[in-house]
Amino acid sequence: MFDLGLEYPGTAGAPRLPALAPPMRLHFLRNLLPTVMLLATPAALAQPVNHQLSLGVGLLNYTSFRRPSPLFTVLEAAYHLPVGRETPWHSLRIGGGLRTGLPAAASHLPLEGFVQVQLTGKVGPWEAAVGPELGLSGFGKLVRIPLPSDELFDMEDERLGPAYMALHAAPLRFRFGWLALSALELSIGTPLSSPGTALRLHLGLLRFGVSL
Amino acid sequence: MNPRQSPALLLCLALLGTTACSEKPLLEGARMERLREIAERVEQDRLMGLVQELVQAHRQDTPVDCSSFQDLPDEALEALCNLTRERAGALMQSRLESLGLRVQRHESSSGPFATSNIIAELPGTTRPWEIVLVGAHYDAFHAGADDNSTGVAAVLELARILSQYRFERTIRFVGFDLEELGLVGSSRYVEERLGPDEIVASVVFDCIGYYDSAPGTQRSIPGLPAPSSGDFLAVIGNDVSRGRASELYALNEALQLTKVIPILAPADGASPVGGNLMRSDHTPFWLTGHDALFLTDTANFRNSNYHQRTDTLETLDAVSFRRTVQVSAATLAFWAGGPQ
Repeated sequence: MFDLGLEYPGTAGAPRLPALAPPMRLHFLRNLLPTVMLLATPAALAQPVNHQLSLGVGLLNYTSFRRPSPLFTVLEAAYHLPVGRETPWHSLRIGGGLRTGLPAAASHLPLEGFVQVQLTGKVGPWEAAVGPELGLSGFGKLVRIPLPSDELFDMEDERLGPAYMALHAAPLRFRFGWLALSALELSIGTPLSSPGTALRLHLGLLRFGVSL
Repeated sequence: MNPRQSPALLLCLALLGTTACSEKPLLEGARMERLREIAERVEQDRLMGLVQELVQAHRQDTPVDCSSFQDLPDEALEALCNLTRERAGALMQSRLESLGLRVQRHESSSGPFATSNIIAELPGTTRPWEIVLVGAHYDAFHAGADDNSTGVAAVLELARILSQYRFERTIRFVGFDLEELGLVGSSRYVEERLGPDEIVASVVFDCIGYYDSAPGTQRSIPGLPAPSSGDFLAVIGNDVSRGRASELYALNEALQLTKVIPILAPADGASPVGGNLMRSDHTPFWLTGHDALFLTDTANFRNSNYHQRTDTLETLDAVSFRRTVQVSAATLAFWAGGPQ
């Protein structure tokens, strides 16, 4: 029975989506939050919020039945707008964006585009969001190991088309007037070409947004 | 065990197949008696003798060139540099030919390693274009008694018995090459030799000779609860082959042969948490939509000799091994539409 117990290049040792734990980053976060609170003045809090631009950083990984992709570090730019402020749909917003990431050489193309629909719930500054995401990704490329098994790997690769669907959740999203801050967003998805064959995990580590 | 698989997710997605098993009798009367007769013709001493010959062939063989794998970890390299196949393949071919079967080699050199699958056929009488396939890989690490001389011996014993009968469908006996390097031979076979619809049922043996009824001898495949005793035969299928798994289960119940636990993977079996169910030559069949079952003693989830020098003849349970081949004989005969 086939199993050589090999670790795949770029995935050895670490869990798929390692916890956010570097000391430098935590230090950065500790200082960031008070800064954001200072910026969120009462005047800013009273401003109507419309369209939002955001920048985020995260980790992205595909896992198929035999092999994973490398763990990509991705940078994201997104744009969202509310569906209707005075309508029953006021809790919905739609948006889209682009992601790029590293290691670029381990991807088909270090770029993906996506659209999202989000249902939001707001309590004070806390404004969580959840909803579906559809996209086209160049990151769905599985690692190869040095065995003469290209045929099997080809069969596995063929199932990993560029289109994907996912469920995106931002449980730790806060808005302070025109400024939004979100951490530990999670998106769980699968390729549309063969749903269920592979798991797509995207962990959004940190996102800053501004309302226009 | 594959550390890359998540036990919790596998628990959610993989399904124990007991719900798919038929309650009503599959066969009654004269035909069941014919199938019982076929099953009883499986000879334990002959099976173990074949395993012994195959083990001897592996021990006397020259391992494949492992120089291109020098960057791999020592543990993987230790196994890879003791992978043999030539003599076991030659033995398999000669035994199939001695039964009067038409034997071909499917040669392929499309990758760094050339492969040579062994294919023998017992032609069907009324529907010869419909194929019932039974296969096992003939390459092995070290002596390879359980993995996979037991599988090859089973194929040869089944060929001996079934070739004494005639069936409506063609029965194809296949020895797959270089399974241990990533299902290479079976992948090439499916890609290069199979037509779109000719396989009506297939079964792959990989590690079918190691059983232990002592409590605590069976480890669970992550996410799939298993009995604590390693004394059962795992029958692994997917949505395509769930009907065949039910038939095998029902025949085994009717003939009272062995302890069978069916495990059914959802859809075509390919999922990020189902990798442990896709570690043998049935996988290329699953990925191309063909009907295939995988029969195994669960290998490293039970057998500490897996891929070790200690995978030797003395570790096998001859009685349980014979029962596994018996239920396979009856099931293949049933699928092939016979005996006539």
